[in-house]
Amino acid sequence: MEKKKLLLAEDDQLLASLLTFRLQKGGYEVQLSANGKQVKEYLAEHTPDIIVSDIMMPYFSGMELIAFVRKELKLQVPIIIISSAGNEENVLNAFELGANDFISKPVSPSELLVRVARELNKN
Amino acid sequence: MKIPNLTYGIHTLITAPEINNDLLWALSTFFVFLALLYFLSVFFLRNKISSNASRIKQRKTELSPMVSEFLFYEDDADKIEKSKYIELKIEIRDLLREDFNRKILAQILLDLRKDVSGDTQKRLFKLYQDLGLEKDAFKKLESWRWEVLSKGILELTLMQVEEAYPFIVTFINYRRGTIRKQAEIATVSLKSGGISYFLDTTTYKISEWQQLKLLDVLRNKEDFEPPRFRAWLTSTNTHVVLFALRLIKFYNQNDANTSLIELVKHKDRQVKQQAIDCIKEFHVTQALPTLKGVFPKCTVDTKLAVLGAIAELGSTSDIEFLENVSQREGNFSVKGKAVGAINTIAPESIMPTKNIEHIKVYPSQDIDVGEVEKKAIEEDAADQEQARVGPEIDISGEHPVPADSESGPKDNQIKHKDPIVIRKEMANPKKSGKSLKEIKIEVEEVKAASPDDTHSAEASNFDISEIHFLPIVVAETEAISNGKMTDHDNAIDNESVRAIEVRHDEIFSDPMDEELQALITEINELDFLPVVIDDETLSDAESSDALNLDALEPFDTIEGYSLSDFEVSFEEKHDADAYREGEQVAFNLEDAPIIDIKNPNVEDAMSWLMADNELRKIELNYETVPYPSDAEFPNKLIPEPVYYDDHETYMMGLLDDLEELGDLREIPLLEELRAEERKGFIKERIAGMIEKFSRERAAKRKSNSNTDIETANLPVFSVFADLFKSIDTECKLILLDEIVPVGDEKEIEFLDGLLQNPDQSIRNKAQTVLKLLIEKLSHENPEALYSKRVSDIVAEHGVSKIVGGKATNEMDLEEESFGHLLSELKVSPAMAPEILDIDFELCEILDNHYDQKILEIPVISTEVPFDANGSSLFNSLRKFSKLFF
Repeated sequence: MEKKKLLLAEDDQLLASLLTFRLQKGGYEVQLSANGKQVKEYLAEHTPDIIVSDIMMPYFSGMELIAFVRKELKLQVPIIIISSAGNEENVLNAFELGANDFISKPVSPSELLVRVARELNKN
Repeated sequence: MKIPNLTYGIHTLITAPEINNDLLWALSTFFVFLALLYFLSVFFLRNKISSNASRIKQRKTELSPMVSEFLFYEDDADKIEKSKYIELKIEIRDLLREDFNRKILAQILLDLRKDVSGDTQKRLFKLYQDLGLEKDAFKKLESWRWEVLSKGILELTLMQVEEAYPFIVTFINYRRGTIRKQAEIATVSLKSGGISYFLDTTTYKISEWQQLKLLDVLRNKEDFEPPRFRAWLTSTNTHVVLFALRLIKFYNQNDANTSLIELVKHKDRQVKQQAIDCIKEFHVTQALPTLKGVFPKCTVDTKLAVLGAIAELGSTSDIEFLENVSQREGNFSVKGKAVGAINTIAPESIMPTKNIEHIKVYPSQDIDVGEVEKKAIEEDAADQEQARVGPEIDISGEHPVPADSESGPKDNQIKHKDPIVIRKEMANPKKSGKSLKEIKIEVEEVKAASPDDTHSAEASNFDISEIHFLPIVVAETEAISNGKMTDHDNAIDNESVRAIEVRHDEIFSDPMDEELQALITEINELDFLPVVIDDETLSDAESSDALNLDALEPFDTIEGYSLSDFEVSFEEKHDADAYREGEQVAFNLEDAPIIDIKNPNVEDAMSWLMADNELRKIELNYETVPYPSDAEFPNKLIPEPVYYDDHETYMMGLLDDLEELGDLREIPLLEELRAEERKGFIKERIAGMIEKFSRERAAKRKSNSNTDIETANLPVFSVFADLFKSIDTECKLILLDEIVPVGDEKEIEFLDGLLQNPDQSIRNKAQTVLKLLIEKLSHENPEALYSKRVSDIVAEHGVSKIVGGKATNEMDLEEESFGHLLSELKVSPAMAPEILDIDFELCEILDNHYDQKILEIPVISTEVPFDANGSSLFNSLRKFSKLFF
């Protein structure tokens, strides 16, 4: 069975490493991008099954990523946003732009795994 | 050609200082060197820091996957994963040997702790301790540098190392605030009971920010059961009280109402306001009097808080207080708050008055309540309002709605006691621009008139229409004659109604009526008592009208009176037969003497009572007891005061104290006082006390002798016995040597037991030590050797000869003979023999070469044995004299 492609956009190296390990262990093919530029480059060539992104990243924020995917690439890929700034305004903005889910930091890797699976099952 | 020195040549005229060129060069070189050194050091340090950072980053990149492996390793992993895990373990063990790696690992785990939650976080904590990284943190706690110490506490707190709790709590009252605050958070965070410990022990201020942080820690703590924070309302630390109040409010602990009321009186403004907040939150209405009491002394902020609380908790009875505040208070905010509070308790009690334009109000006559509107009201009222509000509506009295209005069913007619008045705007809702639902209905309660008013109202002004709300009950006969009984028949006009006798029949059994009947019965049973009448009513009492029983009739209809409200009259009886037969109560009001209260004649009353009770045969002798004169009477009864002079007061106080606190040791003092005292009564008291204490001494001696007997029967315990069990032979021998200087009679039995020891060396040593110990005790404390057990042992080992004093038989005999000598001479010792027990040593050996002349005297030279046991002076002298005679 082919593994689902997951794009993880996270600038925090430690957390990225931990989540990558957990998601890989959960059966996903994880592409890690440390900043917005790398995300753009990846998306120009590939279409992941799901995107998990942080909001605050260098070059390209998570919000911009959602807008880029939904408006420019016109992709309906599920997007899960992870952010330590889990205030109401950010959450509402993310959902308005087209995010499918929002997880506040600190994040539980197991919970993320469940949410990813749920979003993929929806599609 | 010599070049002139420009420094001097050109600037000579402008008084420039003369500076040596060499010095300038030297300074320039020095500063250039400093600059170079600075730049080099900056360059070096920057490179070092950046290289270190890159090294850390590199190492983090290497170690973070290992951490992930450890974190997400499952026991049910496959073989490859397991082997990889084991390899990782070996690798990390090697890495942990280096401090740098340990530091990096700790940093990774601490960084991850902030980003992960749930099960992963718990695994992280476990991994931290499994790797032994907490040991580094513990080392930091020992550092003298406060920043290192703070880091250590933070690390242990973040990684939830509960073992660190006892070490961290010691920093709660640390002098440096940063450490203290870190320790406070750690204490609260690491253990559920930490908050209690912290509140108990902290003596420092808890800042607002710190309180918020602590509250946040508590809020996010899993399975936290908050203690009852009322316990800290009594703390001497005001900040603890304040924090406890906030916690009480946060956790809704409404079991400290009394304390909260007390804290309203607290001097600290913040505590006061917080207590008021809690009172408001928990709706403690009992606090209202206290709130009012503290109000005048409060600051503006507190006053506002108090008024807010009164508005929340108060009732109409508090409006008077609020009105006073609004009138007297100078501060605008407080004034406004008071008015606001009044309006909160009683909405729209105070209407806006400032900047209100005066407009012409439509006169009430202009409003025409037409038939159409009236009908509309009736319909609406019948459909909607009547059922809810009440059955009958009276429109302002001007247009009364008839009681038998067709709009309502007859069953619901006029039974409501409170007439409901509707304003005219209700009568004409269209004109007022409001619907009927929007119009407010004012309900006026008609208070019950007093009984007096009721009586007066029964006069000619009575109109049946005024009591139309009451059911009209007609006498049965009249009802029958009319052929029907209707409550409200419009055919009955007012005139005919007036002629009807109105009675209010009780539908149910009235408890007041029953009570009244019981009261009357009780009064009738009291007819054996003489009738007592005031002077003023004497003439009336004599008249037959006053004694008419008919006067009791109003009782049947009067309610709500007590016994004291009634004037009791008894019916005059003339039942001659009953009197003749002498049955039952021989009471005849005619024969009863009328007693004048103001001038009682006891003799008359007694004679009459006795006559009526068939006690005529008993003779009564009225003896006159002579009273002493007014001057003598009180003086004899009242004891004369005793006045002490200064000395007597002092002595009596001293004796009081001695009597209360003293014992037999006071006897010498008392005897001394008695000898010095001149006052007889004080001497008597002292003598009494001496006697009392002497009795106590005798009793104590007796009890002591009993105690000695009991003690003697107890088993003897040697401290050396326990030590002896767990040591080797060499140590035993050393220990045995120690027994002689430190041991006492308790060791004798123990040493005796050691004589049976299988080890020869111990037996020998014990034997020697025993002898030495007995010798020592015989000098120091010979009485200790008298006990049965010890004396047997002493006798067994043949050491009785060396025991001095009264213990030996020889000495007993000597004493006996000395006693005979004393009796023969008829001399008795003046004092107790023990007083004469002087340590008297005669250890001098008569030297043969001392003096030739002396030596020529024929003397039997002998050696006086060492006798340092305190043998008496007489014995020693006697022995000495024996040498010569």
